[in-house]
Amino acid sequence: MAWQTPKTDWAQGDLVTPADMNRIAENLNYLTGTSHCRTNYSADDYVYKSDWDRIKLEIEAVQNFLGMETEIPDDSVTSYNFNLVETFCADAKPQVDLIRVQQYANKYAGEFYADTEIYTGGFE
Amino acid sequence: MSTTIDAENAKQIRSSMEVYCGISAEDMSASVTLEVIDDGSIALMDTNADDSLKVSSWDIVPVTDLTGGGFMLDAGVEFADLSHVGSDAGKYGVQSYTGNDLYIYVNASISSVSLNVRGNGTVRVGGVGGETYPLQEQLVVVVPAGTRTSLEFLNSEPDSRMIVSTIVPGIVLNFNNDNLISVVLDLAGDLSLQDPSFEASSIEINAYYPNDISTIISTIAENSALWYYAGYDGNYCEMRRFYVTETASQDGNIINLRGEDASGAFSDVEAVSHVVWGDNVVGGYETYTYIKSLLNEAGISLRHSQSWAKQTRPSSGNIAIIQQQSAQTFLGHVMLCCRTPDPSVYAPTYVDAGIPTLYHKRTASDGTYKSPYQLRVWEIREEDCAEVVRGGERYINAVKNETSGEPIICRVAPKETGDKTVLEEVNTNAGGMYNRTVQEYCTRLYVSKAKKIYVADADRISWVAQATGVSKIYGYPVAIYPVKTTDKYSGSRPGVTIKVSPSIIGGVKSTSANVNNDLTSNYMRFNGSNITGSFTWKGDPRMQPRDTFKFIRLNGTTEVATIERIEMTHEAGGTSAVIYYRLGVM
Repeated sequence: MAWQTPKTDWAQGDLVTPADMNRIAENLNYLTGTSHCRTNYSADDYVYKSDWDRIKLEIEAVQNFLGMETEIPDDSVTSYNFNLVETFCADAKPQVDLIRVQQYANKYAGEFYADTEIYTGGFE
Repeated sequence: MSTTIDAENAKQIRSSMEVYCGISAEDMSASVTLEVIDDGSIALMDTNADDSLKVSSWDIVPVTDLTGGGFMLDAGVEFADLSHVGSDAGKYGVQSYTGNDLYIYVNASISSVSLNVRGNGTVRVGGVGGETYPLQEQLVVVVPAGTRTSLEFLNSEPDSRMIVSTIVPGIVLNFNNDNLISVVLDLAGDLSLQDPSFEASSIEINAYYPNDISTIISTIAENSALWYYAGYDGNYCEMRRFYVTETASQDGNIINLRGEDASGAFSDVEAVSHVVWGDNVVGGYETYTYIKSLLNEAGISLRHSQSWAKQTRPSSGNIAIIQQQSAQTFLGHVMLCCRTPDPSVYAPTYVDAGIPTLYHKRTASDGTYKSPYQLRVWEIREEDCAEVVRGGERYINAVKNETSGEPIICRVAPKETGDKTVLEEVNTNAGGMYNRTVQEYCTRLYVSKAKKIYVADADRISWVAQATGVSKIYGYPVAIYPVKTTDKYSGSRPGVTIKVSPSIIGGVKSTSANVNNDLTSNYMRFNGSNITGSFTWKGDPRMQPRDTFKFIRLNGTTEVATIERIEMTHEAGGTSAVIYYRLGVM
């Protein structure tokens, strides 16, 4: 699951390409640590409603995990909704990364340590 | 870059106008059965595709398709749904994977079938060796009637889909600047002061079509719908509708279509004798209502209709009688003569030219008056015009009845006292339908022994007899008081005497002040301008006959005039119009 910098400046009239959909899906899979979102969009594809429903579900799952309260996009194909999704991904990533690092550090030290600086010597 | 008709009209050199027109001759009485074959080539379709393809009025829903560079945001696109059912809300049709073909079987009860297809390639009918048509968005193909036949949509472009949205029996053709040779519109009005009538407007379309469908299009039925609109993306004129009046033809690759507006239906309609109230605003209201009934009888569906709250007759007063005449004659006369001096009070007007419109008064605007449905009082500068012609008719000084000695204006009073007069006796059979025209105009027409009276108006009565025997027709013959035999202009100027056939006996007044606007009166004949003219101009597809405009002359003066006729031509990417007018607000 490779993270790509989200695009958060979608505007009216912009075209959504297969690469954009794959980025959004990859980023959500990165956040959830799963492969729930399909990442093989091509120029022969449609973005199905079921794909978008999956994206919304994944956002909700990450929100619940992080305790975030952000707007869930609706089903309209708008720049507003695409900005919502990608901005969410951008905002959630640092928190998810921090939690993952915490988890690894916790495993190393054997006890919970909460600080802004963490000894990660030997951390892989 | 978006623009508007107004923005382009302001330019010295206007961008080519986008013109769209076509014929919708779908044969609603014919049947077609479709079978969509899914051999793995279909990427998306309605779950009811066999049916949704047959409905031409359902629009294609734009979906989140990643071909061709992706889908656009904020453009009304929807997420593709594999459970989608085609309906009034829209349809998918049948969409292939990129580079793939589509196969649909058709069994039509007639041999001409119209397709709406997007893609690149060809359409082959009946399999290998069958007729092949170069694919275009609107395509008419020939199939053996009553036989299950394959339509193969053969894709020649590996990166694009084949999308079939409509398959219907009949002929549906759409044209635009890519295949139009010319479109000529003659939008007619009649502002003549002597014998005005109502004229039909017409359209003639010449367009390029790659296949020989001359035999098919010659079967297009009379009165099939033609449509037209023009303008610029996001700013088009209102769609005009016409109806085929001549056999469609194809000469080489040029298709020719001709039609008239709905007023062609007037040729079968008579304005029958009818009593309207003569006094107060009720007279104007009832005359306006009578015009509506004529349009209804002709089967004309009004696109715009100015409403008027019902006016109730007082207990006594004068009446007026509309005489039997052709609908065109009546409309021409009522629009000229039955008006108040102030057109914002009462000026019943019917205009078609593809947009059937009825209103009873004009709107004050920009120092003059306009139709309530006219965008604004148009402004045309003589410096932008060519072939400017100005004419003058002789003034009308006096009006006489064509029938020598007959009055030109009459006061008509109901005289309902005493017993009704027996006008006629009719031998009837029980249950039989009877129609009579009696010899005098009457009020309170009635017939005895009638099971139901359908019409009892002026001099006409229709009924179903209750019993076998003698039925008596009763009524109060109206009193007609001749006012004058010659109506003269009240000022002093040289002029001519004309003879007319009065459309109505009596006076119709449309205001509580009883302003004299009798139908047989000659207010507008006497006060209408004798100055007419014409000029060639760039043209504006939004203009209608009877629209008002300000004509800014080269010497700086501004004249208010009414458009009588517009001859508009779209050809070779350009647009021009010849406009005929009469000075003043008509």
